[in-house]
Amino acid sequence: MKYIKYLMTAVLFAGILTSCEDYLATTPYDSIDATAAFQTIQDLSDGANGVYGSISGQNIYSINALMTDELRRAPTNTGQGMQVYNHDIIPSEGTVSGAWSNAYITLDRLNRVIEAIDLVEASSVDEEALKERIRGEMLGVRAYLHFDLYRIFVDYDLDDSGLAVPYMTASNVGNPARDIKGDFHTLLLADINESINLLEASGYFSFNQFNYLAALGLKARVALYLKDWQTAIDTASEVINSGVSLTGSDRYQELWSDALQQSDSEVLFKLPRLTSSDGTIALTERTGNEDIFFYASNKVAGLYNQNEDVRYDVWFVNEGVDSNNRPAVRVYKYNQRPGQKNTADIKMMRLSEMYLIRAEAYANLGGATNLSSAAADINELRSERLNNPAPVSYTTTEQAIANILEERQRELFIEGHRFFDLKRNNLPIERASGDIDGGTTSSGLSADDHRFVWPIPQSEMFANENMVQNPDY
Amino acid sequence: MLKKIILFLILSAVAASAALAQSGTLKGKVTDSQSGESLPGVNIYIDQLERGAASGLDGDYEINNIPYGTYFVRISLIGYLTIEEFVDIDQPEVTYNIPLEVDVVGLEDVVVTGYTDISRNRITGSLTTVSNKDIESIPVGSFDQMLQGRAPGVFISTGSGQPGESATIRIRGSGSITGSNTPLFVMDGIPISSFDFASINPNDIENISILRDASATAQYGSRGANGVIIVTTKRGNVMDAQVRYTAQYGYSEAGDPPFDMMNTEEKLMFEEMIQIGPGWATSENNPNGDPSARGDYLAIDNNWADIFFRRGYTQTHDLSVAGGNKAVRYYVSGSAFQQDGIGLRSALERYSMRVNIDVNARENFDIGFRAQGGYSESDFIESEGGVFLYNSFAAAYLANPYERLYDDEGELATGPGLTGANAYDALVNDIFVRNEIKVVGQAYARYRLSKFSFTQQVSLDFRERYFSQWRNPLSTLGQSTPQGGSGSLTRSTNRLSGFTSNTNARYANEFAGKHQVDVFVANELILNHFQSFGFTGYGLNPKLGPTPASITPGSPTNNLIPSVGGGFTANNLWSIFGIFDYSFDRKYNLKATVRRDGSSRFGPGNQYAVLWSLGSSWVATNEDFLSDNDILSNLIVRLSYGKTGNQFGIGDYQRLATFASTSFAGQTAIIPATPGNNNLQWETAYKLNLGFDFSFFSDRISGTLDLYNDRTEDLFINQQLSRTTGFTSLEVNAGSVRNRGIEIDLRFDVVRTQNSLLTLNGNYAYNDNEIMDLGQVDEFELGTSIIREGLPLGTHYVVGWAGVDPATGAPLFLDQNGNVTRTFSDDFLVANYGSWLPTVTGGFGLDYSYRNFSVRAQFNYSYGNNIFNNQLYFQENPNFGQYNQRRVMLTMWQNPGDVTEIQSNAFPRQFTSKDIEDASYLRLRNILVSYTVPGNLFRNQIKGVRIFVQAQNLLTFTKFTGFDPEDYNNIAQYAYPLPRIFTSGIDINF
Repeated sequence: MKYIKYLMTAVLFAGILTSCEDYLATTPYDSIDATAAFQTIQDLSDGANGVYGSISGQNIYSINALMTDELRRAPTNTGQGMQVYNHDIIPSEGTVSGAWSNAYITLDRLNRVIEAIDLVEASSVDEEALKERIRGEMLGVRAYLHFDLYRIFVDYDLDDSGLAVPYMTASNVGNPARDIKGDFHTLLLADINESINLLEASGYFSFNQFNYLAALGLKARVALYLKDWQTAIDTASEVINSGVSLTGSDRYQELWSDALQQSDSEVLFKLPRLTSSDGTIALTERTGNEDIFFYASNKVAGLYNQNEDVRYDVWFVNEGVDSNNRPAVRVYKYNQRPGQKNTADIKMMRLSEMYLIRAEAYANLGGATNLSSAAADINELRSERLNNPAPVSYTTTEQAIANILEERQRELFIEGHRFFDLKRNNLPIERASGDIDGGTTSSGLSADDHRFVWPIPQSEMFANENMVQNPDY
Repeated sequence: MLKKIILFLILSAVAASAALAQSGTLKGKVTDSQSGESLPGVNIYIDQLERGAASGLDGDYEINNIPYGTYFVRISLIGYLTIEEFVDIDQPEVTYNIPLEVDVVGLEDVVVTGYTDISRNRITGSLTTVSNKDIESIPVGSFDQMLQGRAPGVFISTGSGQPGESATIRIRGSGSITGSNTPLFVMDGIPISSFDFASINPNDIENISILRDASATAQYGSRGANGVIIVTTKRGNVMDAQVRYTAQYGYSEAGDPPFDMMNTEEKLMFEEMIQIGPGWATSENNPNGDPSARGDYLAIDNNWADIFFRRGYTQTHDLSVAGGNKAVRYYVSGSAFQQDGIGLRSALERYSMRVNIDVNARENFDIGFRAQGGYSESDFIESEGGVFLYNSFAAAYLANPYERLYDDEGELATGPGLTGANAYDALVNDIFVRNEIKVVGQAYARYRLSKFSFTQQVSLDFRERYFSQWRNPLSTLGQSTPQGGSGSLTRSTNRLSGFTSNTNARYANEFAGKHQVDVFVANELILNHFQSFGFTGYGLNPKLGPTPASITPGSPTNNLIPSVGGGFTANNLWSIFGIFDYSFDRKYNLKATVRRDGSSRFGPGNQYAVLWSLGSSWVATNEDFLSDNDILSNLIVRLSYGKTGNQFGIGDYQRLATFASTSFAGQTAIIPATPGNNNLQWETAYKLNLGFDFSFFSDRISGTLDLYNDRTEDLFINQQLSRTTGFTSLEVNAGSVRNRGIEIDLRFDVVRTQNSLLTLNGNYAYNDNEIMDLGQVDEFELGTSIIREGLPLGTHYVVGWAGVDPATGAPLFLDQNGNVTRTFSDDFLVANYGSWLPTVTGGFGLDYSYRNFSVRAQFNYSYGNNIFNNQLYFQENPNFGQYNQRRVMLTMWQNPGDVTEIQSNAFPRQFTSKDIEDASYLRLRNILVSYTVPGNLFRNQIKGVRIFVQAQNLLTFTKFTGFDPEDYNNIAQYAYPLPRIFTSGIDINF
């Protein structure tokens, strides 16, 4: 009995002195330790998928649509998008910080993939080729996203010493300052050119990933903004002559319901949205109960030849009048799939934009030959969109540009261009009086308004001591 | 079996009649347990017989003619602890000598202080004990609400009125910015979650101890920084089985909201003013209008609140049996609680049971088992607490009065923009339920060896929640499901399991009659696992009910692929600690606690923290020079200092940089998930406390006073990162927050006679919260708050409101210098409008009893809290004119010269200081009137009956114009309002 006492005492004391240190080394099940994230080619490809999945795409749609004359407020709007729509652009506004954060967070993800490419051993020629293709895609997306940031947060004055935004070429924890435009353009074009080379060499083309034609298209788009008209013409031509063709009006609806195969589609680069759980485009209406936030502006609806233009036919439904007795044209551009409301692949670039870029570049070069080349591009595009289109012809650069911008407004409606097109051409935002109701407090912006250049978000200013705010914010 | 029962009943009857045949005498002497002196005038009362006797001058008493049997005897004398004891009269003369203990406001009783217990006058820390009498039989689904106003320095905000939802509890303010401020809850030695705490059956509770300062909480080390609430459940005593049944019935209803909404006529008028909606479409001023249609609208005037609110019924039943003998003591209880919420569809049903068994297995060897099991079903309101059209509390006020619930065909009048019927449709046709299974169990074995005892204890805290959300394929929401347009069914479960093993040794001894020494050392391992799983399926077949069988299997083309999710996470804590108590001469007490905690949440090098405290107290009234005075009956001075820690409120793997697995276009994708901070370590709190426990005039007035200064350092802060880093923020340790304050708890026995007792109680706590330091920055914004050095936590950050410009109807604001301006800018944000955290909290109440009647009333109050009333923003907003508005909106600016507080609809309504409201309040939390039926009923088969009626939240005094000033966060936005509850009940002892 006595021994039992001592035994129990010993056992219990031993219990008190037991070390349980092993229990403190837990590892997560639901996530991957960062040091083990990239070990195989498959990991790189998964990382690239992560980058594509991070890109919002539709931020650009919203910014351009809400800032400009593309939409008008519906009476059932309870504030959705109204702060931007009313041009109440301040550094703490959600769309401002959303656009910035989304791009830079994606850029960091992308730089991590680029940095991992060299650390992963390729075990075959095919794998080596895949590595280089991923590098080409990532460099291209890096340029694409940086250019989107530039379009939103930087003025378009062509002064190399002006402030651009930080161009991130590596994954870094730090507080980068804004690059000057000269440096920014150099880095941007370097990425685009390397991307073109790598993707051309890969010989691979998928419109669901950044590709050779998207890289060329981006180069043309950048050239248009930088007023490098010849580069814009040459590069756009490369795309136009690559064998991709405009989708005809007979299959136009399928283009927007994403039913077209790659070979039949004019889309150069898109972000697939397989189901609504990949994200919906709820810019103009609530996906749930279909409360309308915005109708197409009557100004834009009036630009189409409603009986002849396939774009109007596919994208819009005239719903009579709203509860304020104003004409109501509902937008269906991204609402074409049966059973999948407001679900559509995000079109990042289409062939038609190349025609429009080339036409605008020709028009800016001026002269009868160029103006007629410009008109030819527009007529080519219109012939695919309208039944029996009346051909256009241009006599002056000004007339040509006005007409091309109008065509851009029709062709690229809520596709992320209108605001930048006005900003590029130093034109004001002007909403029609019929598009302004009691809830709309801004009828437009004058061309020199500081809000054409968005503010650096409050959160970035706060965290990054080297960041400089744009003027007048 | 039946035969046996019948035989048993017959034998019982024979035994009972035999007992009646004989009678005996109960006699004895009552003495003071300490001095041994005889006590005259003591009441000895036998409940069943409704008679008794008083002791004579020599302390002797005698009660004759008692039929043989077991009796419940109550011995009471003012100033002494009442004894209630079962006495067997089984022979002609039974002697029962009674030593009575002085009742020094429970000074001599043993208090559970956590891992150990100790007599009250040896305590060095700040703690309050709430006994079961104060909290049992209050009919709320969430037990934590019952503590409101009961203990100083404990701020409890009910938040949601959904039956069964847990409240927000803060002890001595908030010390952490982004980490958790929730106290640690411990039940019978088992750490439990706040949800478990909320759902304890209050009738099972023996008492609750609330630990506040370092001396009291340091034993919990890294979990003690936010204070600790310790629940001790009832255990059996050595006595015959006591059976108790309590039942309550009643109802709950909504209070009147402190704002007026428009009726149809007013709303149409308002719509004319702002030229929108049917009011404008049918206006004579509208050139395109159709005034003839106006009558159709005017014919309807729905008060949607009447449709969405209801009177909810409540019932509870509790049955418990307690008893024991020398070897085995037991307490077994079962309880059923059912409460319909005041919001349509919301309800709670809960069933729980408890078994507490303590066994003296051998000499020196005890084993025991305690377990609590529960099952509950809750029906919820969708999106409660958010500005959503499907939150019925929002829809009740956002829906226009001219909207109809049913159309002419008797179908629900749903459709775009028809807020009321849409929300009603979702409410009555869709389902949102949560079922919960909960088991808290513990087994222990204790071996006693002279002055030592060794205990091994293992326990489990297990909770499984099951959610089901059904979008009826035929309801409006179901039909607008993006995937297939035919409803959706979500089922998910999450499982929380906590295992605790505690091995400890205890030594207690007293030397030379003067030195009392208690030592406790332990090794404790706590493992917490959390796992979840869920799916959502689409394309429900409307002919089937809410079952997974109705889901249409997904295919690559039908867009009905169900989504599946889930995860697993774990955190572990390993600790070694010791608690040392030393007392000298019953005057001087010293307590030292040391605990070394190791947490899996931190990286190598930061895993361990050594936390400690030192506490001392001086029982002044045990000094010779104070022992004989008539005024001061008790005075204890306490002083403590220590370091505690906090590791709650951060993720389990924040130390690691991680990638998450996700998908893009149907393919696997990986993305960075957390930046990782291997340097992350514990929040530490340094706490200083000076306290006084006092009582005067033979304890007629008693109370405590505590002064404290707590400083939390190395706070968990989300340091903002440049977005170019790929992340928005990084969890780091930086800065410090100070809470200092004063707490007073008073109790005054105004009347103390044989038949009546009137006691007043009150407590007051003032807490001054200040952010002392934030590390790399001076301030940052957190939602609509500013976290800034020198300000309290929760400080609102808004632009000042300066009224409406009579000339233009434009809203006017204050710039950062206080000048009136037309411009609205983020640059004008100021921190001048207070914090949502109160500075003063407390409660007061009275207990009055006269013979068999008693009345109890308890108030609680909160002062200095200001809440952002987001409801005001939506209900007084000309930009939201398509929804119903408050009546005051009719005074909106229309013409130059109009002087009003409501801006013109031509300007955007901004969130300003106008929307910050004073949410101080005083509330009559509980009032209870009870009557104890004298004597025994039904031939002694029933030993006592008490009947009672009570009301919860009967009166509230506040300036706040949202639903309820008791919001659980800084923003009031259509949270479930707190109901008034009226019940009546009966309490029967067999």
